[in-house]
Amino acid sequence: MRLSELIKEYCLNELKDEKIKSWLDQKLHSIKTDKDFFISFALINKKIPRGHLQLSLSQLQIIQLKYPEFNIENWTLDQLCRFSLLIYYPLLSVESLTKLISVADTREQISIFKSIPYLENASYFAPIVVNGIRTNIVDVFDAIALKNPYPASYFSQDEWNQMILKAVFMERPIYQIKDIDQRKNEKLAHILFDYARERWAASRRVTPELWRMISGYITEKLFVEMIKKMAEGNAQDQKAMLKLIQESNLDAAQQWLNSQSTQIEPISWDQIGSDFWHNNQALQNASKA
Amino acid sequence: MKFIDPHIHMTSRTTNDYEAMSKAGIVAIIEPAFWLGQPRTEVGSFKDYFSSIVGWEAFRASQFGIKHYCTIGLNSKEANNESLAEEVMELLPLFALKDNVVAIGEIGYDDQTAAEDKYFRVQIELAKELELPILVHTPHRDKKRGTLRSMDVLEEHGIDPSTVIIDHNNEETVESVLERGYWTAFTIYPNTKMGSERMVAVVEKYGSNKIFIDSSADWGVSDPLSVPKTAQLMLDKGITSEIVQAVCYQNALEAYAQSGNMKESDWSDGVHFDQSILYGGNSVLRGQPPKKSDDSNII
Repeated sequence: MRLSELIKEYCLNELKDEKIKSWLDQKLHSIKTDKDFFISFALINKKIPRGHLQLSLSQLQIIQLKYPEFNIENWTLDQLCRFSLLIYYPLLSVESLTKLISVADTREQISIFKSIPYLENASYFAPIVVNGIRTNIVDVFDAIALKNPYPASYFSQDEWNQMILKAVFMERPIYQIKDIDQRKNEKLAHILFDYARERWAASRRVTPELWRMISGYITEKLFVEMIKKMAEGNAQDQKAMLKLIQESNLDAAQQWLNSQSTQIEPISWDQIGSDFWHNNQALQNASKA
Repeated sequence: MKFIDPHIHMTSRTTNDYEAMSKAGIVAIIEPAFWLGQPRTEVGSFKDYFSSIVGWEAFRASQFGIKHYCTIGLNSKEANNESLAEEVMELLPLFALKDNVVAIGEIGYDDQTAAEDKYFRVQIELAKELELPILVHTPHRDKKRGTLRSMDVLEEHGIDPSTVIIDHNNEETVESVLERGYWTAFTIYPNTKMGSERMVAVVEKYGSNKIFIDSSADWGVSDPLSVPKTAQLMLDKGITSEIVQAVCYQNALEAYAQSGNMKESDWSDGVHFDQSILYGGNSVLRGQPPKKSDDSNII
């Protein structure tokens, strides 16, 4: 079964109200104009409940086996119904999607950006997604940047670098960006190191996840600069810098490492990112309380 | 005490206002679609404006712990540009269904022209179709006649008065609006419209049933703290806190909750500084640590 059919089936199963169920089913197969499409898309707000899906274990296994990238637990029912409308509408052009986004509210924009990677002609929509990254609304930014396979597949190097820099700047969880290591590049490493210098000049911290993107591109000069900052960092910063040093082929880095007496505990970049993110979340919640 | 300001144009206000409002106890606001101080000449300007009040402004408000709603509609002044008005009518259904939209509005009369009448009626029908409440702006000039005419037209279209908010009332209009069963809103303005003192007298005379107040603060001389300040004055004058609560919070909530899009749980657990981590630069907080709520009374 194709992903679109599977999702449609799950959505229809979930809708207990027969009137809404047949409304959606009918719309999925009958929409022939942009106008009908826009109104139907907008009506999801009113008609469809917002909870997470109540999937049986076998349903969950089917989708996880066939489409492991999809992460259905990240989607709510209203988002999946919008996904279905988008995927079933045969006339979805760049022009109509651009117009749809221009009249979309936050929740709708999130659904659209999460859906685009799964559309048949996904590659056509790259300019729309690149433009989406310019948003100031964090939830919309996250829908594109985090757990979404689109940027890694379709963004040019400059577009990718812009997104990563903005994610760092907005303090988003970098480890949740798909293929973050595969798309590392030297230009990005230097941009991020410059960013770190700016932050240091203002006596501000940088995320320890920054070093993940610089790892592999450290030069002798940058290494010396980083080592100077290491002592000022906290345990999380130091773990990340140590990991970068361990991964480095630089002679200076290896010599420095050999001169250290303490044993270094192995840790993954994902773990460094996740620890930092959850620690920050906890601090925030504490400051709210 | 918690407050709702059910009529305020935050698009033209600063972050200082948001901070002060949050500090004064305002937990939720409604931003009616209105004009921007000068007439728009392109339909795209309306689209971007509507888009901003269903998305960006709601996000901006959330950073100060305030839940933001809006109403969608073509205001009466700009209804007089008929070719533009036609294009705006096409846009309205797309925005009126959005998540934070609690009414069609503000609509009604300004100069009471034929064009204004036409688009008032078209939008009443839209509200009926989408089952949304209606927010009616009553005119500054010839107010009494304009208010009565608005109610006549609404009733001609079979609208239930309990789903309509008639705004910018004064001592001259209050009685007939209340009598006919409409939600009766008052705008507290420093210079024009109602002053806080006069408002206290209205509440003393008519009680709190179906009455609520707002600031209508916009790009002109106006005060985004009108609601909490008037509440304080009412309390000082010996009006009970139950009545003050009804006029400055509960009645507006009840009126607009009829949309299905506004409920107390949207803010009771706190819209509180959800994005406080964003002090990096793209947030509206830009560098300074987010303000924490405290109970001190700044009024």
